[in-house]
Amino acid sequence: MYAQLSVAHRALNRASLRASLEQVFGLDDRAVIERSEVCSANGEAWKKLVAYSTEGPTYRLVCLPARNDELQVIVEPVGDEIRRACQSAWNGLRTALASKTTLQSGEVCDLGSGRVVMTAQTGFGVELRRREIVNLTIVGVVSAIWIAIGAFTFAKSHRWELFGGALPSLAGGLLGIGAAITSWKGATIRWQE
Amino acid sequence: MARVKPSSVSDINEIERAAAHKARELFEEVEWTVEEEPQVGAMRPDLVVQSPNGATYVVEVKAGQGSAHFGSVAQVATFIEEYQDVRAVEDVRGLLVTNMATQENILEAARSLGIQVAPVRGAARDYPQALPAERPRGELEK
Repeated sequence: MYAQLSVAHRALNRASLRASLEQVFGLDDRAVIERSEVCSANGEAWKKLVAYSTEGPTYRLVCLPARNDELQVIVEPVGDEIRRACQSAWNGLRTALASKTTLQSGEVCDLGSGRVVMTAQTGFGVELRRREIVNLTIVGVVSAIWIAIGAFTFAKSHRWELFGGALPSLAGGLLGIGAAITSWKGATIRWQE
Repeated sequence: MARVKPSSVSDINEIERAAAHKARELFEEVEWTVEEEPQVGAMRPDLVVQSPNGATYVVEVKAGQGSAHFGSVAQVATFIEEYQDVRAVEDVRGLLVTNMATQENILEAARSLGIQVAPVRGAARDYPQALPAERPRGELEK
């Protein structure tokens, strides 16, 4: 099992890209390519193509620039669950490549068949669409609309009571949106099987 | 390959399987030997095809949006190596069939590994030029 991520970033030449990655992940280690399960076939050719490779305690990382503003990364877990390995690698990549870094695509593939096993997504929209978030948000929004209508019509003289009654659902909605924002800011990868 | 926007893992795999199956029919029409999803050691490539004069190709189909990934090229290289080891065949070439955008760097990587990339962008007339020289005279998918 391995993951392939495509990361959009600000334009960087090969040397700058490697330097940025080395600051976060440590020195480039070409021996990783020989140990890689994905890139070991014709390893010498891969060594010329790869911009940066490293291996930590939980994953192997092989980075290849598709363009000067798009990095393609192969993540191989080493004694860790692949989703955790990808999240850890993605956190490091965001730090290394700094601003304007987005995960364009991500897939976990089965090495034996090449079939896609899971796809990855990040972003505020993805967080908002999560079932546990969307339910809370809908309840909160509907409650807010209900309060707004009631405050100017049927509950004109009992606005505080109306607000008090709707407070738990409003709080739930705010918590949902807050959780979505937190996960979005933290660049949590969401996986679809 | 259908230009359907894959919305889930099963969609992607279904499109790839359908395209691989279509390719199988095409190769068989011109009397190439075809194995679909053969078990080769620990690997299972989409197709292994052999031309009448003995050239062997490992064919992998990749569907999706955005750019093709170096990982797909690496996957084909791994299949080739496994096939050479398990079947004791020296001359094995790779063919990556994809509807995804292929950056120059990826094409260069494929070339350096002896893998041909066949971009299929939906226009049937594009297919034959991209397929191997010993290709079947037809379209990968109509």
